[in-house]
Amino acid sequence: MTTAANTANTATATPAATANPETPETRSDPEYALEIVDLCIDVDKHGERVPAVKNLTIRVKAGESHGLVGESGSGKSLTLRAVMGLFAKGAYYRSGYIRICGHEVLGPDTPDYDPSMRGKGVSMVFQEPAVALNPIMKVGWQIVDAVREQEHLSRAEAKARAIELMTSVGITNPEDRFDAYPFELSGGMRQRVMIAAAIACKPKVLLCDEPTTALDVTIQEQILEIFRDIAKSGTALLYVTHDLAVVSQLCETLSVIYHGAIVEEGTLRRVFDDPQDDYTRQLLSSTPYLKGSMKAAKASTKQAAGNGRATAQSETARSQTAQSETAQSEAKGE
Amino acid sequence: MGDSKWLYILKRLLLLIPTVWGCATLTFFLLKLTPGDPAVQALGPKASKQALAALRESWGLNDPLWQQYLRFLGDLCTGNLGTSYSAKAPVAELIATRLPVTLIIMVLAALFAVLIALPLSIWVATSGSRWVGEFVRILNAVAQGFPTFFLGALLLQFFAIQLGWFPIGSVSGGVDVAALVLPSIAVAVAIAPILIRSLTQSLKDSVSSEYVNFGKAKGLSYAKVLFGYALRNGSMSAVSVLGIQVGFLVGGTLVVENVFAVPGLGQLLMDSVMKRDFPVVQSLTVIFGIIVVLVYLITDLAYGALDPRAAKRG
Amino acid sequence: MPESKQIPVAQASKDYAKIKLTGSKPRKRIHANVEIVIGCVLLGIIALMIIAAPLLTPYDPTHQSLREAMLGFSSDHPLGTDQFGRDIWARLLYGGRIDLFVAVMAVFTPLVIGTILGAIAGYFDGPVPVVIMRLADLVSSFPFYVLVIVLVFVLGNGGTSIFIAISAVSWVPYTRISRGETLVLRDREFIASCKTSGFSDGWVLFRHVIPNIASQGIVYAMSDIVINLGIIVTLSYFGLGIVPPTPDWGQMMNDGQQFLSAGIYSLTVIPTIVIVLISLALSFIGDGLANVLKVRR
Repeated sequence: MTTAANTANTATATPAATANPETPETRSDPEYALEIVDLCIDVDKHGERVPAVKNLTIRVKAGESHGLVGESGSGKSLTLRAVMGLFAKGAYYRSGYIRICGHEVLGPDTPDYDPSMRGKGVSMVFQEPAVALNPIMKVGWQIVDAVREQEHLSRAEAKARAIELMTSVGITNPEDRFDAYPFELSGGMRQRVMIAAAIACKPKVLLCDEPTTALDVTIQEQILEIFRDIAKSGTALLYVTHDLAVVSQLCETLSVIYHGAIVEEGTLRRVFDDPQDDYTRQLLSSTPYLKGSMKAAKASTKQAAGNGRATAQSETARSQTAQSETAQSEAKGE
Repeated sequence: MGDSKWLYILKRLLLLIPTVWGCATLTFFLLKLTPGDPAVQALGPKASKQALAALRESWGLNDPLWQQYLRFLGDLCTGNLGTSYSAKAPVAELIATRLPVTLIIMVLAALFAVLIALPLSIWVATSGSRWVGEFVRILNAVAQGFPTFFLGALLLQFFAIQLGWFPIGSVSGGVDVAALVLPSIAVAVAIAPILIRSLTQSLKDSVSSEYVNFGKAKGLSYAKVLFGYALRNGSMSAVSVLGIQVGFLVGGTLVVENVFAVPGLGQLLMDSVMKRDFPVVQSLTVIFGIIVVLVYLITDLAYGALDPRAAKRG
Repeated sequence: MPESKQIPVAQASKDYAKIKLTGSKPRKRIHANVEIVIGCVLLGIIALMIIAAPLLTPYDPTHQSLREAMLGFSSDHPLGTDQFGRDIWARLLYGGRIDLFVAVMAVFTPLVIGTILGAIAGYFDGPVPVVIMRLADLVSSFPFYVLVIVLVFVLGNGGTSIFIAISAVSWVPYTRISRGETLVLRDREFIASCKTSGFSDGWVLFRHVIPNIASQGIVYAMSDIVINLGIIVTLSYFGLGIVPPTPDWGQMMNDGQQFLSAGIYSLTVIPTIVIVLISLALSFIGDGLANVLKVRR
């Protein structure tokens, strides 16, 4: 597969870059939609400034899904937020580059994040839709907002676009849901709304910060399906999670981050079959349901997720859960 | 949807009845503690014994307390608030002519307070500089400690007397809103600090909130995120604070009305207290109580309109 | 056997204290303490000067001398004299006595009463808490100023009346604060362990509940003193407060107001500056205390 070959390139290219941190590759490579090169971020800890992300390099191509796996506090969310320019209080950029489609948003020359790529260039799906959606604003308008900021559409046109987007992420009765407030929707529905808002401007890069962690397993599967479709449409996906199982269902390549540094990187198959780092091995062994099935099923990563179970069966289950979800949220709305 | 909302308002209005009853009861028994004979106060110390006795009888002051209390409640329900000793006019009439002035000052003061608090709060919440925060904090403490009557006197001296920008003195025959601007500003300065504190805090929470982050991630402009998201959500706290602080709003209004000689309820109250005009003080106390509970209700409704979650809960 | 029963209680409350201490960040607390120190020093200087008034001025604040009326600043009269020839510096010092005393007393009393009522309302179930909270609702449905003025109307002018009037009205916020805190505390383990080990409710309430909930009320009290000072001065200004000849800041401002149009500001501005300084000091102390408490939580 071509993706495998490409990611092999990435895997070999990165050590070269990290081996010589003094002269990072400043020229952008048009092949990549997202480039994070030698990123260093410091955080305040007990009054001292300590490195939290160390020389992190990740490159993702258009249409590719890359997983970033690590435990909480490993710096993975910090990295995502740096790409988005959403530094929390007490977090500071030190060095490195972040480029979206070749456009430098963060680097030595632009230490104050350049927000011009937000929306059309890069967007993000947050972990908790319950807090990431504005609680006092109808969900439809939160999607319309995003649409209208970038394209000069009339309200009616924007609303039609929003409903279209809501349909595309599997929201049933989008016209009714348009006027719902976030608290009137179920967790799964909220997450769909957030995805719809995040992809409203067709971003080239979509960052995902554990977007399925707060959801139960059946809905998680549906949401992952949406992400697969988004990637298929040519968006570069950087998917942050602590869950290797999710990565195995979605991503072609992955990086393992530990204490702010990448300890392992490669194609899904290579990392799962032949982990080089002790920490990766521990991670793999702590995800028991991957162990046996993976080696056999991972022949083709893309298909594995769908073929892992009887497709027809899962389809019906999916529509059932969608229905029950609808009923649930309607009951809540009442 | 619309029906249930009106039903809710109706329900809330009905709930006002016990509160107003409580206010009236408290006022009645409180003022019964007042030393001195109301008849003597009404007719003066030189009145004849017969005249005093007749007045006491006609006012029912010789009846048992519970009868007086019931009559008071009955009169209150029918809008008969008695007759002023000093003005020799029906209390209801006195209050009716002065109520609009007081309400206008209260509304203007709330408006000015928001106009003062909003830019300062946005400044503090978005600057991130500690010194800006400290500066506004000290400004707050100064404004809070500065006596409202003296601020009123200063405003009157400079802007009305020396610069002549505003009309001076009492408003006779109709309401001259221009004459109420300076008093309103004096009240606004007194209540703005409380507003600034809560608005700054909720704006700070909003600005660093995840939904503002997501707004930025969606590609919204800074202005859109600040005004459409952070400020809109933060403004809810301002509404509830203004509601809770309505007591201080009334207090400030009362003070400035006397400084500016504006014929409102506050001036009437102060006058009546000085002249020991019993029926007026009694009625005004109840009226002020009703104003406060009505403002609480309006605040709740406004909050419900701003926050869909509160509307659902209500 | 009360001796053996006391052990878990003591341990539990000690653990509670320990948790509070380890949760604090040392850096933040130092900053908060700086605020408290600045506030206390400022307030302390003002309070000391007021207490030591006879040492700081040879003049009687009520002594009138029309020949010496409206004097400017001089070495004899550091802040000049008013239209009756009374020394302003002396009036400022002596006038602060009654104003500050009433303001502080009218905070202390409602703080104690309100905290106890709130603790009772939060700790017990049944009709007593309902009555307390209904009464609180009722009092708070009157504007503070209106009720105080009406009470002064009932009780007559003077410092004692103002003290009673303010105390009768301003216990409500303390009750609300303390009830809220007690409701949280009631479910904590060490209170539960006290209850189950058979201590009387009164003992638990005064020995364990109130000491732990008092702090929030004290923070509120700081801003309450400013409010009280404001209303005392305001009432005196309108002739409803402190009865002359006792000097007080409100009367000083009233006396001086007629000279504003003549461009003489010192009579009114000087007491205002002192009031604002006190307000500033109390706001520093209040914010500092609030920060310390927030960190401990």
